[in-house]
Amino acid sequence: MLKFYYNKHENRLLCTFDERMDSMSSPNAEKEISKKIDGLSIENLSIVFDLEKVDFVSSAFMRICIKFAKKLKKDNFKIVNTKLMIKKTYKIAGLDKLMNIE
Amino acid sequence: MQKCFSMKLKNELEEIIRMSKLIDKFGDEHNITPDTLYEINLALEEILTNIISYGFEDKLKHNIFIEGHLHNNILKIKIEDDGIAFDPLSIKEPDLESNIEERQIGGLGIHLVKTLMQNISYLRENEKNVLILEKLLKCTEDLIPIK
Repeated sequence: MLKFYYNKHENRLLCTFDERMDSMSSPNAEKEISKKIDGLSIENLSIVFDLEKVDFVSSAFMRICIKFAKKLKKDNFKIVNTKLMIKKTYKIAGLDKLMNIE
Repeated sequence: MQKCFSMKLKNELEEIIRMSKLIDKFGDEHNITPDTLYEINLALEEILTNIISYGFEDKLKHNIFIEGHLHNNILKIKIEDDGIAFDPLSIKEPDLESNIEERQIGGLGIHLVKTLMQNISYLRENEKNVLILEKLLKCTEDLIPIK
């Protein structure tokens, strides 16, 4: 289940995922996140995706990452707690140079 | 060549999880490394998502047939569907160099499959798409512990 933690002071939205992020789950996640940021000021907003509990991502999830990274100012989109295989997948997709993946 | 798994899937995205469980079972039985299994599962997820999402112009139920054959540590996975003709090898490589503003959102799935598999072949036969993915298997027994 996707959970949100918003830090108003820093205008930072933390999104924690806890399932396989594939073509089934990613479209719903995209809708939920879009709905969540609709009410926030996009100016200086930063978004952090926490993948600690995610063991699998497909290109459907990467598309979401690109979509939200495009909306934000440079360096304001970050992915954290990324497992090695998932990091490798982002690298193959050439996304490791475009977003901060830890 | 040894047939090691086969499955008939419906053209519904939910079916991909069932396929993934079958691959995990195959991996357990053959001591395949988690990284190799991940790569096989990812390639299948991308291919099946494409077939199920874009392969059928009607709203009818269709079947997708998957078979795995093992020979000399190479896993050959045959994926057969009766959807519209689609050769994944004909898809242009996505631009992986442009900055985030110019980066296109599509095209990554097929790129992942091409990168993760050792070989891919496609043919259109009897009004069906037949795709064969080949993956060199790495087994946990091949790994030598570092002393």
